[in-house]
Amino acid sequence: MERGEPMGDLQRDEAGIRFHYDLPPEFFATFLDSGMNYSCAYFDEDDEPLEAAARRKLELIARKLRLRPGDRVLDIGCGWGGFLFHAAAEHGASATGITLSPAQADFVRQRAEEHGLSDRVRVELVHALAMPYAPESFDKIVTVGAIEHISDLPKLFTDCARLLTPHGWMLVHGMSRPWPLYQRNRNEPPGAESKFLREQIFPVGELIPFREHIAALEVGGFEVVDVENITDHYTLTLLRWLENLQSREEELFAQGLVDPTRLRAQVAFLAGSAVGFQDDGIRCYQTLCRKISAAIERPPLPLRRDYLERISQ
Amino acid sequence: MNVAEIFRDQVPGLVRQHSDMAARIGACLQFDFEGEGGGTWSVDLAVPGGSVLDGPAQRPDCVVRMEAAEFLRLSGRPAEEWIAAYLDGRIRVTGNMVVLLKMRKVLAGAFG
Repeated sequence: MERGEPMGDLQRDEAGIRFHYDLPPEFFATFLDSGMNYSCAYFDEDDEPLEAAARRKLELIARKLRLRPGDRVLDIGCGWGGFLFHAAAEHGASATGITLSPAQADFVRQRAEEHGLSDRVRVELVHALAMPYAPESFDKIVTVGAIEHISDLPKLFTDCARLLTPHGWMLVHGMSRPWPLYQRNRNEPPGAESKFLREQIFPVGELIPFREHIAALEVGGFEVVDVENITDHYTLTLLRWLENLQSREEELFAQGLVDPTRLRAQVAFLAGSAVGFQDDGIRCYQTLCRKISAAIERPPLPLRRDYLERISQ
Repeated sequence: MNVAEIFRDQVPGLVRQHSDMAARIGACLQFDFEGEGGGTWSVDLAVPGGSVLDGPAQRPDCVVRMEAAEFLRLSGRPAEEWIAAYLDGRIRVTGNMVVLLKMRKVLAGAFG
């Protein structure tokens, strides 16, 4: 993900996404929580089990978005549906997810059927930069760990604003590169680690400075309401994933579920990402924002920020 | 240069040279070199000042296994070659791989 090929071509994006996310869900299940959340959890304590922290992350997002029964929610880059199922089952929302991975979409459909949620959980194979939905189709939008793969954030967020109802809420959960490191990397040829990531993990994608996320949100027509730095949560999450995967490495070699090279690459990727977060080479933020709807009076926000603390608990 | 000379003559100096980084890592990495010229060496950065042991550690955080000849062939070579050796199974890692990746910066002067 460090510095993949410049993107833009939709088919190339699809091939790049499928390279990683079309690996068998059973493989990802060996190291993720039971909700198959492939993004950082939200820990109460350093030693909290991953399962509880992953669930807290989903609930934190739902509460930041002020999710209510009947809300129409769009999840851009929905993965294996962790947030879709939480939104539908726990908050009564009608949740639509988009992904470019047929394996992920099949997994979501099957799980929706198993849980009797097919009427409220929908998944479609749609590119984030070519969303076919009508204006104001959604009340809330969330994107978790997906913007790293999307090449044109101003277009993405402009489209999101179009798809939201007036003053609709959006939460963007994504990784970024600290500005000095980003600048340095841009002026140097790709190193061995970048080549490894591009060839073995993510053929498409790039970490960009956080200020570009904010700029794109403003260009798109959003008011930024709150930013939470969750970098340290990602370190803890990666260490849990790594421990889970390494503990089952021999078993996975024996099963032949994935090619041994891909398995080793995944172990190195998780370990390298943990080091990246610890060395201040990667950051992760949750950015809560609201669509600007100039024609309608702006609903006031709480005067004090402590309402967000209550949401976190 | 053989494995013993690298670990006996070069690695202790690197640990001293990078003492701040070594202290922050605070973990123990064991190398099991197989085949002719092999042996076990441990770099323990969990103890004050760090130490390099000729033999196994009591409780290594991470263990790296490879042929001694492969290690000598890779020494001084670019990172791409080390990564390729790991990916095709010539280098095997058990335990916390984060420790290996962090300690790589300390040991780079000897390993490449």
